Amino acid sequence: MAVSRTALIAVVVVVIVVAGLAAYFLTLPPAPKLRSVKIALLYDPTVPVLKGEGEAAKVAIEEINAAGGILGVKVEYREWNTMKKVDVALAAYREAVVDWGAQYVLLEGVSEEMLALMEEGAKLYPRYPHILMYVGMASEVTIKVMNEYDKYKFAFRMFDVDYDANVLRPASIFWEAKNTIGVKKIAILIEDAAWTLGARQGLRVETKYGVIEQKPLREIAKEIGLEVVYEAHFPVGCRDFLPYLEAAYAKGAEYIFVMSSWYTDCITLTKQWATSIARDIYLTLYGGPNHWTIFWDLTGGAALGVLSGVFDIEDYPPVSPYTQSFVKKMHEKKLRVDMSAHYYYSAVYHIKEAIEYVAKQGKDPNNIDEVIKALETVPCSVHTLLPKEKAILGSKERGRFHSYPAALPPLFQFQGKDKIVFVGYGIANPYFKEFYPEDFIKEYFGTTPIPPKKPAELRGS
Amino acid sequence: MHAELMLTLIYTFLFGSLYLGIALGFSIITGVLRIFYIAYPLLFLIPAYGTWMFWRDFGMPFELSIALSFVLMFAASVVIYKFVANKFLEAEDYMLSAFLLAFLIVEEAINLVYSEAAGVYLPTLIIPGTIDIGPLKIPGQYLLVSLVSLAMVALYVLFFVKTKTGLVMRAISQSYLVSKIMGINFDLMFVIAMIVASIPPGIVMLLIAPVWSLNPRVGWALFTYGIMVAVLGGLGNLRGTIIAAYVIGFIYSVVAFAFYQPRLSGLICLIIVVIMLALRPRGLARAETVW
Repeated sequence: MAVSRTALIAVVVVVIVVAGLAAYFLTLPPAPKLRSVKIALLYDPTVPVLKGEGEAAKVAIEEINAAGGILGVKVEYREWNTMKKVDVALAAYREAVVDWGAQYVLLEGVSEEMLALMEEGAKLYPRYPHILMYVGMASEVTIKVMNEYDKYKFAFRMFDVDYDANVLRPASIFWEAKNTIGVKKIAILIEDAAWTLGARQGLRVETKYGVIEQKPLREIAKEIGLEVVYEAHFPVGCRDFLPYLEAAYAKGAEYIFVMSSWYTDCITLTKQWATSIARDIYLTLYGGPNHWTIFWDLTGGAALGVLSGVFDIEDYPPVSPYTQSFVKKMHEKKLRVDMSAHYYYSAVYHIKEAIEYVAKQGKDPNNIDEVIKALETVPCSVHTLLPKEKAILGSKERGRFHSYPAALPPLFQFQGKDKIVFVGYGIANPYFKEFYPEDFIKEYFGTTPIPPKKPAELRGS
Repeated sequence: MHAELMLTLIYTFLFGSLYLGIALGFSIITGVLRIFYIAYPLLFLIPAYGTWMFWRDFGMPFELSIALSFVLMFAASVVIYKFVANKFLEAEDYMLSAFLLAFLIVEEAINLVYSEAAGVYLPTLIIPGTIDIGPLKIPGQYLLVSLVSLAMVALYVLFFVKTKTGLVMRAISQSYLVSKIMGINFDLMFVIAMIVASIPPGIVMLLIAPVWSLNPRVGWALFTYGIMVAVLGGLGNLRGTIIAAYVIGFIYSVVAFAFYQPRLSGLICLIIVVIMLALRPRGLARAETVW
């Protein structure tokens, strides 16, 4: 049978191409394999709050390892006690990165520690590439990364930026106060700490990606239509809140908003509120141990009627399939869960997803530069407080680079022992709506919030 | 202005009486033993956490737990006296260091076992809510603490004035050497003084706990009020302590309630105490005895 010349040429060309391709692929080096994942946990285990956060990261690591690890590699971790001191944290950081070879460092402590570690990390990074993560307030962390990316690209602040924490979430609470509860006059009490600077005075920061501006809380409240009848800034460690509560009452406040994270202050304030002339005024606590269900016991029931974010509830709205299981696991370990604990837990999963993304792209998952880029790109699909579409670290809007956008702000009310009721999520407020539209939030919150009750009604008097 | 004046007067009484209750035991120890008892914050912590331990960890009835916590506190006072105060009576710097260490050890131990997350709370709220006094509503539990503090002061004054033991303690506080020559049993008197002095802070702590923060660090916070009052009053003198407690209560209340500047209250109190001490270095009520 005669074969046409054209067909013969075609066959020869195909054979050559196939042979060439085969030769090319056979001589390629194998895809890089993940060698190890070492996570250093730097925190102070003697501080109950910080211990809970360190343990939260360990829960995530244990889960990941139980499910086969990351790309088949078990996650290793070691813990260092920072004693919440900058010098101790620095020594621990160096030991973790240089001696132990940690590629990922999770720091829980004060912002001064993080800022010091960033400077040290900038020196270490060229020889010891690693990623440093921190959950907490300190706008400088984010701004440094934005303005000097090459120097500080390894640093991530896995939390709300100041704009979100000081504007968006309080605005949501103010909106609820006005529109759901119907109050008109508000008193604002703010802890006089570095992290509340923007809330007290407002902020204006210039970055390479534009100016970040935020108004003080009183301005935000006014914009929402509330009259701020009293504002005071109290010192950290305040023991006598009665003068502030008397003043709020005397000025006719119908709602007291307290921005404090100091553990003892929130407890003291609540106890004194419950026994003061102001006890019929709504009280909302923004940060602090009120994030825990055990706040009821800590105050001996004085928390009756207090409004707060509570992140320690086993049937917390299931933002991700991991939200409720995480809280339950922490409770099994007799640990409490605050907002930061959710973020530390989720951070470990975000690391996992970033490494897997790098490998999926055919790149080296051991290359920290690639993991950094992946963290900026890939959302954390199982974040326990942020919907997967929003759990991103790459946005440059409002200074959110290397930080998450604000979490959904569900508000709860302590209505009795073991009775913490979902009373609002502020979806319609003009600030939050910009990136959490109503339909979007309804998808994550199956139940409709029930408006809060008056404290006097709850007391039955 | 009328309302502010009323508030100021009421809170002068409430805060003044509270500070008096806090400082009472410290003044007695300083007056009788003539030592600066820097382990005093223990006397707030042991009744509070001891009660919790017996009640919640050992399952004892609450009232019995309170009683046992006081027994524990008395035992601690005796131990501290025997092994610290008595041993270093002639070496004040060592004694102060040892007192401080004793306090820190207990504080850290409590923090280890009953950290804040443990949710320690004492159900000693006797008057919940407020009490109407004219146009004002004042915190009921604060009023109770104030009245109890005053009652304790009255009892202690009677003890020093009317009992033989009180007389001996006054004699010791007036002249250590002369009392020694007279054959007074110092060991016994000092132990009694330590025990007697430990009662007021324990009671104040139990009553104030429902309206204050109860945490392992609260002892030192309360002690700072005690020092301020005792120093201003004249170390170791009960009359001075009473006057100083209300002076500080008044200053605090004026700044906080009449001028709505609670933030400045503590600072202004301290400045005035320093000025007063510059003018009267031995305090408001200069005296050689505890009463």
